[in-house]
Amino acid sequence: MYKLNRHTLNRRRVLGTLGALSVGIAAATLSGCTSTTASVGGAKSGAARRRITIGSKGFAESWIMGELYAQGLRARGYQVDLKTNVGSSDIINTALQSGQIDIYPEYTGVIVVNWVGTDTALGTAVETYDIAKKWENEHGVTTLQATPFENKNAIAVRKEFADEHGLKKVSDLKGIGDFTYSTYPDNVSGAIGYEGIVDTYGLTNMKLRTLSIGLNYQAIERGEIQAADVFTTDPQLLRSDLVVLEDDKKLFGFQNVVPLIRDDVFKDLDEDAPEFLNRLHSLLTIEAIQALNEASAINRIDPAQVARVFLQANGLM
Amino acid sequence: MSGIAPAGDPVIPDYGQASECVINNGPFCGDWFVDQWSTVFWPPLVDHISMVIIAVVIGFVIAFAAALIAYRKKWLAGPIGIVATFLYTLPPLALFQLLVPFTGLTLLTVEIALVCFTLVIIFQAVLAGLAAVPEDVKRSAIGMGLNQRQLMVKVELPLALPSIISGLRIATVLTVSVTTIAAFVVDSGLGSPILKAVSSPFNTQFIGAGALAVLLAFVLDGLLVVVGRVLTPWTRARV
Amino acid sequence: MTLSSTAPKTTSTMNSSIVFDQVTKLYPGQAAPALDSLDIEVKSGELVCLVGPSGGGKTTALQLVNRLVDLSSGDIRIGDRSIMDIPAIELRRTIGYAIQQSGLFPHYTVAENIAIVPTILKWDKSRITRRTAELLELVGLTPVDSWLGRYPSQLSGGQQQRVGIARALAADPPVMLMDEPFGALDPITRMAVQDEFLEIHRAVGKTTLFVTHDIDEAIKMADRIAILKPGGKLAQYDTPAEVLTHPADKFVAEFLGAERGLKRLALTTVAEVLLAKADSELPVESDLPKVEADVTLREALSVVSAAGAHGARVMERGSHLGDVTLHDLVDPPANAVDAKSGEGIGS
Repeated sequence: MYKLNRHTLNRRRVLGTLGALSVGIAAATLSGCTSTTASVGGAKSGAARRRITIGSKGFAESWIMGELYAQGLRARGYQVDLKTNVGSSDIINTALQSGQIDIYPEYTGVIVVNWVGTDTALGTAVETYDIAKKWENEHGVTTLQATPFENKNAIAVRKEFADEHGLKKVSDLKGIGDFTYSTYPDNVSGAIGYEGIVDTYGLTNMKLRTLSIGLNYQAIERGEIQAADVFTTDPQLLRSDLVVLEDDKKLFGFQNVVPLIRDDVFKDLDEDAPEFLNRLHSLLTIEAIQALNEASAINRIDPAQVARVFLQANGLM
Repeated sequence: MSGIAPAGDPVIPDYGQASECVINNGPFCGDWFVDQWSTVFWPPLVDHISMVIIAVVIGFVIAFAAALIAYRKKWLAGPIGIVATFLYTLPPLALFQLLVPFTGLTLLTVEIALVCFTLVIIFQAVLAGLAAVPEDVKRSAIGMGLNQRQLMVKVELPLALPSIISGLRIATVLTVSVTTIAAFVVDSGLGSPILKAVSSPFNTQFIGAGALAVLLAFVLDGLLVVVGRVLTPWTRARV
Repeated sequence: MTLSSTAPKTTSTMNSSIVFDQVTKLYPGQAAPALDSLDIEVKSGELVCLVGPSGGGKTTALQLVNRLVDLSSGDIRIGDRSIMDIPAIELRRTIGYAIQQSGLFPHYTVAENIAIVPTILKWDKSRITRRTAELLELVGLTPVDSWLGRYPSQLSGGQQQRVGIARALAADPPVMLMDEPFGALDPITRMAVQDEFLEIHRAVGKTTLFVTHDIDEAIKMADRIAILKPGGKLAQYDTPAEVLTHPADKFVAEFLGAERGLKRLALTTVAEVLLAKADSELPVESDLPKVEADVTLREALSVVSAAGAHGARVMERGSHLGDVTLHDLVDPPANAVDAKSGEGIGS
């Protein structure tokens, strides 16, 4: 849930009441509605295919994933409705269970932390995936292959700083002398917040400075701080000369994206749909998602266009 | 077919270089606006226009018919007016919320809400226009042998036109603005880029889309003024 | 105004009299009738004024004729047909109707206003165009082309009223109803339009029922006057001269007012006195004020009185017709007055 906290925080900061309103609308969705928005695509003829509704959460990476799914499936002749900004993980999961939406991209760690329970041990990405898959299957949801990329919190340092101190993993920070780490104000206490990091890795030499989201990149480039809480798919990582340290004590968990498809919908899909989704996911490496996020967040290109260009470049459309 | 997909070899497209203005989220980046016009602005603008036109046309048909009925059966004017006013005073978001359980997150929900907002304005405008037709003109028309239909078509409606047109102007401008809120229900219209840009946040996108909404209101209002002038030449006749 | 040779005449020779037969109108919820057993006949071609104080039911009487108001009892006949035998809409299209403020359609041009009834009656376009031009000439709005395209808001009150009269005449109805048509005009315009209308009336000979609250207008315009008193009862129905000379009762006398005698003088022109005078000896006074032959005795008396003279010199287009004495003006020869009162009834 920590990753989502960050997005929710971001939205709350900017949107104020608007955010609350969109959640209200999303909540209203749950009280029962059917989709009639027409979006007929593809050239595939023959028997009428089931209309599919794809959902996404309220941030750019989720919009892009939703667009990738929607456009790829439309190109294969499915009638697809795309609902963006459906809401938080809890809301969008309820929407999936109740049939408001049929497919949506979710993070494996979110499934495990939110619904399976936090006390489950998270050794590897595969283990996380398996636990998430088991839980979803028990709840009538099919999972396909997860993306190679993960989107989770991480600690980044400048390359010179890493070279100077021979830093590869988070544990390497111990004993390099006092340095300053920044994160956003809401992420200080808690297992994966500043305090959790200090406890888990024993980093008593790590001082704290809280900064609003987005300001930490400037601060680390100017040398005001030495380590920053970042986001592994954040396009800023591409633009700044930063190194992400390995989370060797697996504090931050694993957050690969997996498509969740309700069983009754999956049953109606032809083979081309899972084939496409698995192929798409295999192409979504950390470099790829960073580029897509950059196109959206830095170049400000519309998620639909970002997704279309990627699908076309990779022969998926 | 499970587990984490083996990392493939993706072709990473070149999305181009963002300008300084875009990177720094300047107040308004003209280059980006021009580049993104055809994807970010034009389609929502077209959707916006069609949502507004559909709402105003349907609202006009309903309100016009209701006004004619109320004009013939005076006792109905009160109750119809109260219902229309009630629909008008509902906050747009609350109305969306009320409708979603029945009609879903669909264009239908949006149009129902938008139509509700136009009703009272157009209804009152038609009724006020008809009420303002001079008594002596009606009396002479009836005295000359116009039947009820001829009286309505040749005399009452034409003379009510200026009032009807001003009602339509207000309803249209209001609908252009309320339609931006439709983005909470459907990913359509100029509200959609505004909503996305506010949550990003990206100034050029929401300032651009907001300005387009304002511009659209002016243009549609201007068009109605022109239509009104063409249809009511006598109002401009000077000695 | 000049009457052109194209001035329309009533072509129909049929009887277009209006007969009120025991006509009563009681409005719902009212204790007393607005019009009580009215019994009058307006002969073909006659101009009858309905006068009386407000509450006398004169407008009600008029609106009963074209069925804007429904009869409570009694009958009204136009020609020999009861108005109840004709569908109201059809009936109205055969009756010219002109009202105060003209009632012109503000969104129609002059031409379109005049064409309303002919269009409803599906006249062909060229006939409507011809008729419109004819009527505009008749009411003195020439050159016709400069008036056709104007809207009522571009006309003065008098011009609007002229168009209103033209419109009422458009489909050549045998009967005209006029409801205080000149009531909103200023006195000077009003006099002019009255004169013009009288001329038109003489030319086209429509049976006309004319409501006015102005007794002077009635005296000037009417062949006969119907005076209604509160409660919708007919007080007197007679020629202006007879009404002025022999008011039927105290109500009529009071309604005519203290200047009744002077009003009577307004019925006769100096030309008529001149013709009726047996004795045509000229007084010797040389400084007599001059009056035109067509002025009324009342106007001539005013001129003579203002000049402190004992008579006036009657002129027509600059030539001297004769002279009238102060005595001639105050007590005109009986045959001059009789000639006037008999005129226009179609006898």
